Amino acid sequence: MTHPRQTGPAVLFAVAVGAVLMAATGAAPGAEATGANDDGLRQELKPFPCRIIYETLRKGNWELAIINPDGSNPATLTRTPDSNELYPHASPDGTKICFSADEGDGAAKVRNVYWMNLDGTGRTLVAKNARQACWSPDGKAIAYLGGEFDEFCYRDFATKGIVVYDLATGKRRPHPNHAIHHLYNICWSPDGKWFLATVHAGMGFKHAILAIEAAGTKVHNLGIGGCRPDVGPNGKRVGWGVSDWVLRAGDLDFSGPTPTVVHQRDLVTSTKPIKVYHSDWSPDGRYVTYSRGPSHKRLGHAPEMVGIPAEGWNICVADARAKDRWIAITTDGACNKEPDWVPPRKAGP
Amino acid sequence: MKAPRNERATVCSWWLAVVAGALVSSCEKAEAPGPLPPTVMTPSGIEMVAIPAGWFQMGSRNGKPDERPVHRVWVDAFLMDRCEITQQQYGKRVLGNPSHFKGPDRPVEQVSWADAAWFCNKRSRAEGLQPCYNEATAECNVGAGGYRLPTEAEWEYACRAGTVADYPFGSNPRRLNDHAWFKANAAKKTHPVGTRKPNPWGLCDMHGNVAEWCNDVYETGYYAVSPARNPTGPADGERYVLRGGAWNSGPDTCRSAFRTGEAPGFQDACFSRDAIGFRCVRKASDRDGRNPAKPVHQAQVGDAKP
Repeated sequence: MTHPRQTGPAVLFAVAVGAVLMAATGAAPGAEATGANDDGLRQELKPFPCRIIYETLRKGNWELAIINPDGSNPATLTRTPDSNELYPHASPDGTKICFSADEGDGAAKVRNVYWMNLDGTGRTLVAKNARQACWSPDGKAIAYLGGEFDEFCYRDFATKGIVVYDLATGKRRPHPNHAIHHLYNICWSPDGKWFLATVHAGMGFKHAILAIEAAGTKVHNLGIGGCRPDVGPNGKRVGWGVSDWVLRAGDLDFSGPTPTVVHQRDLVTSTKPIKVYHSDWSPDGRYVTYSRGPSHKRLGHAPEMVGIPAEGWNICVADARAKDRWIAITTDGACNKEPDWVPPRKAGP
Repeated sequence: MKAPRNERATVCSWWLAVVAGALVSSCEKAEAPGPLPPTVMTPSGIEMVAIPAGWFQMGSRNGKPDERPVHRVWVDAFLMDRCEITQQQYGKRVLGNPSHFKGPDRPVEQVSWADAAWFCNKRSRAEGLQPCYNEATAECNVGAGGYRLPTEAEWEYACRAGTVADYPFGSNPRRLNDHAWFKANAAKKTHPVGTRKPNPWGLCDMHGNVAEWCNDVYETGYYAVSPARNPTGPADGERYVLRGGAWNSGPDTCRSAFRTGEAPGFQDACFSRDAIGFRCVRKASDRDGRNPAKPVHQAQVGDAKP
C-alpha cells in the first residue's frame, strides 16, 4: 500500500507513464472507442484540399457519406431507403463515384455496381451482380469483379473475373485472364499496367495479395501476407492490412522480372479487439484513411466485410510519415467503413 | 423436444448394423472384429455413425505432457459424421468455397472454428433441429438436438473405437499409410474423404487429411481437472482444440491422443489454414436405432468399472 506521503510522487509517476504511453501509441487512455485526439494532426488536416467518402449504416440502410479529413462538415450523399450503397471509390478527377449497391429482398437480392456524380446526380448502372469497383487512372473506365453466384452472397471473395466498363461507350470488356477467380478488393495502379487484389482460395492460391497484369495474363504473388491492398498515388507505394490489427506500407518495385514489395513498415497498429482495415492513400501520399472498430466473439461474417454491420466502427486518418499518429474523424460508430479519398475537383476541358 | 423430421434409413436393431457396415461404401472394411455401429443417413445426405455410450481411457502416457494424466471418461451416445465435411456438403449451406485444395469430395478447409460452428447451426435449421450455438455469443448448448462440433472427449472416444494403442490398428506408425492421408503419402494436399481404411467403428480420416475442430477450448492442463462424465472443456480461452492430424502431419501428430490448439478465428474473414476442417456430431435419440443410454460396446471400450 502506498504511504500517504508517497501519493504525490506516485501520481506524478503515473501521469508521466501515461504520457509516454500516449506518445508511443498515439492514443489517449480511454480513447479506444473513438480513437486518438492528436490536435496537431487535426489542425494539419484542416486546410487539406480533399474530402473522404465512406459507407455508413443509417436507420438500417447503408448510405454513402462524405466528410472533411479533419472530421468537419459531414454530409450524407445518398438517401435511398430501397438501396444499400456501399464501397465508394472517387474518380481521379474528383467528380464522380463508383460504388456497390445491394438491392432487392430475399431471393431477388443482388449486389450491383453503379457510378454517379459527386453531388448524387446521374446515377448509372455499370453492371448487375457485380462488386468492388475501382477507377482506371484516367477516370474513363471502371473495373469491377463479377459475382460468383446468381444467389446473393456476402462473402468478399465470392467473385469471378475482372471486367472493365468504358464510361463513354457503356461497353464491357472481360479481362484477358479467364482464370481469375476469388479476388477481392481490386485496385488499379496509377500507370494503368497492374491490378492489385487479394485472392482467397482461388487461382491455386491459398490466400495472397496478387499483382495481375491489366492487359495480360501474368499473375504474381507479392508475398506480403494480409489483404486489401491500395496502391499509392505515385504507384511506388502500397498499403495493406497485414493482419486484423496492423496496417502496413511498403515500396512497390516493378523494375525486376517480378513485382516485389520492399521497405515494409507499420503505419497503424491496434490491439484486440479493435481491428484496423480498408486503408486508402491520400492523393499526395501523405496520409492514409482507414476504418477502425471492434470485433466480437460471435458467429457469422466479419464486420470488415462489405455490407456487414459493424457497430462501433469509425473512419480515421493517419499520418503516413509516422507510426500510430492518427485521429478518428467520425465518432458515431455507425458502421462507418471503406473510406476513400476524394481528390480536389479538376477543372474540365 | 422435437424429434428429427424426415430421417430415413434409421437402423432399429443391432443385426441391421452389420448391413449398415456393409454399406460403408467408400471406405475399405475395418480390420477390427465385430459388427460396426449402425449408421444413419441424415436428410442432408450425410452419413453418421451411431457411437455407443461408454467409458474409455483418455490421453496417453507416452505422448506430450498435455495428454496426461490418462484418465477415465464417460461419453454418452451420440451420432458422428462418418467422414469429414466435404466441400460439396459445405457448399449446400454456405456459398463461397474457402478451400485451397479444390474438389467436391475433398474435405472443406480454411474454415475457422466460428465458420464450422455456423455451418452446424445452418445444418440444424435445414433439418428442423434446435441449433446448438448462440450466434451472438458463440456459446454452445450441448443439450440441444442440433449439430455441433464434437467435444474433445467425444472425438478421442470415437477415434479410439475401443482401442488403447497409439492408433486403432496398433502402435506401429508404418501402418498409418493404409489409414490416413498424412505427410508421407498425401503429396502436400488433401484427398477425397473416405479413401483410406476406416477405424473399427467405421469412421474415416480420423488420423489425417485435415485436422478437425473440436468444440472445446484448448488448455494444456485440462486433463488434471476434467470431470469424469461428458467433459466439455475449459470455460474460456484463446485457443480451441484441434484433433486428428492432417495432410501435412507426421505420424506422431496423427495419434488418437494427440491434441493441440488453434485460434478460433471469430469474425476472421481471411482464415487461411488449409489443413483444418471439421466433422459434426449430434445427440443420439431413440430414432437413431437403439436406446442411447445403453452402452452397446462397453465391454470393448472400458477396461475397468466406473
